[in-house]
Amino acid sequence: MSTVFITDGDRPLGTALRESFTNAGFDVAVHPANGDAKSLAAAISSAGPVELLINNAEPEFDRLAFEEIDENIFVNMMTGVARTAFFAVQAVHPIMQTLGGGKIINVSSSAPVCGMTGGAHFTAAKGSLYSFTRSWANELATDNIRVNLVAADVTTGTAAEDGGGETPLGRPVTIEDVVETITYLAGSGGDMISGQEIIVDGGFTRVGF
Amino acid sequence: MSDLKGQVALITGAGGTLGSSHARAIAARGAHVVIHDIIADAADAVVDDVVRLGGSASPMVCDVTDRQAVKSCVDAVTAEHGAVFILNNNAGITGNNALIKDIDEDFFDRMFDIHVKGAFLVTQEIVDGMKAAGGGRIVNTISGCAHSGAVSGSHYNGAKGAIVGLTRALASEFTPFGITVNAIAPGVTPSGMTRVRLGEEGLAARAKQLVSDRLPTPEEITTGVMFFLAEEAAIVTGRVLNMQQPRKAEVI
Repeated sequence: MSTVFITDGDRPLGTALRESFTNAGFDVAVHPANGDAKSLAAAISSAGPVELLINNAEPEFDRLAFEEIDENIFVNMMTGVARTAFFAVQAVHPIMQTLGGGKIINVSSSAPVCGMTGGAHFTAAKGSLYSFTRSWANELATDNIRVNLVAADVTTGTAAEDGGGETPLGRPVTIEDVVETITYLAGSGGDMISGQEIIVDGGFTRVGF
Repeated sequence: MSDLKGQVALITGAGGTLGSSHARAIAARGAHVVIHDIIADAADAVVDDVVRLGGSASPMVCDVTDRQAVKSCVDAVTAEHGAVFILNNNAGITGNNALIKDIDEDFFDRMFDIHVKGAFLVTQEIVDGMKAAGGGRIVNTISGCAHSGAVSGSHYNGAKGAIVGLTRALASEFTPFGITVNAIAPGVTPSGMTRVRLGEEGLAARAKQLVSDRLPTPEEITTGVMFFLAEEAAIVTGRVLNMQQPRKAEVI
């Protein structure tokens, strides 16, 4: 039985991913997001044969004017997203090498593509995932590790207050929509896709930019 | 071409190859250029160079990851020369082509602190003055590697990707204040940093991969910065100018 490892598996998307992959017959291990490289490495090393890592860690955050983001808030966001993802991949790499390959999916946002007033800390942190995705896809390809990014612009659930709701496609983006995209990449359809980004936004990104 | 006379420019990491090239070009257009570097001798040498060429420049020596140090430097610059109109967040370190298995926590943290927290802190310290003065131009130096995924150290590429996110977020946020925020993404350019990372042989090998058979000069990369500074580029914001050159088909 192969294992799916999800960082920040207790937030709504993480919970939905955990349920979905459990129902599909995988062992699922989750870990909170705190950027602590050692505890993350220990959790991943003891999780079993991890063939899919989903970097879903994302601290809660408030929209703040740039001048109001203090150093702690900024560093906490960078740590919770970028540092957590980086050291999760470092820990899972030798496991996937032993298995003969694996897949990594980084969960990001469209904000680093479109910009986001009041979200400089969030956008910087999520922006790192775009470049990590491309770099790791290149570096880890020889180990048969596929690395992709899914931008989860969920407009229902916890993010619903965030101005979400209708999309150009006529309905909100749900957590289930994002789970389906991740499931596709995790399946055989994603076997020859690496270093790519899919923005699940109901078409928003292509409106007016 | 716009005339930058009377403006103040701050370039972080300007003791290096690209930063000093930008400094000479901006000074040649009449701006006073503040040459930041963490190494005092490096900053002083570029100041001397700019002054020798007939420009106006002064050194600023501090660690960009230290909020108090940045604040006192920026306060001193503003008191003596006026508000900063041009900021180039250019300070950085090399990823040294490190593979992910070899990047320890210290190297990772130093990479993100200098590139991302540094750009964040310096921008925060200058932006009030920029807003009060009615506008400004911020140009962040990233790297073509952040787009292509080329191996140069994934912590380096990830830090540069974070600056892309910061660039786009601040472009939205600062538009009402007449401040543009953009980035240049150079391909491999002979510099102090790329010589450390690739060596002379490595640089020559990179040149052979390009259709042009040559790497850019620092001055050619500076052209990208100068585009964003042009008065006529006031509506260009949130953009990354990728300055990588086409590669030969046989090496793709």
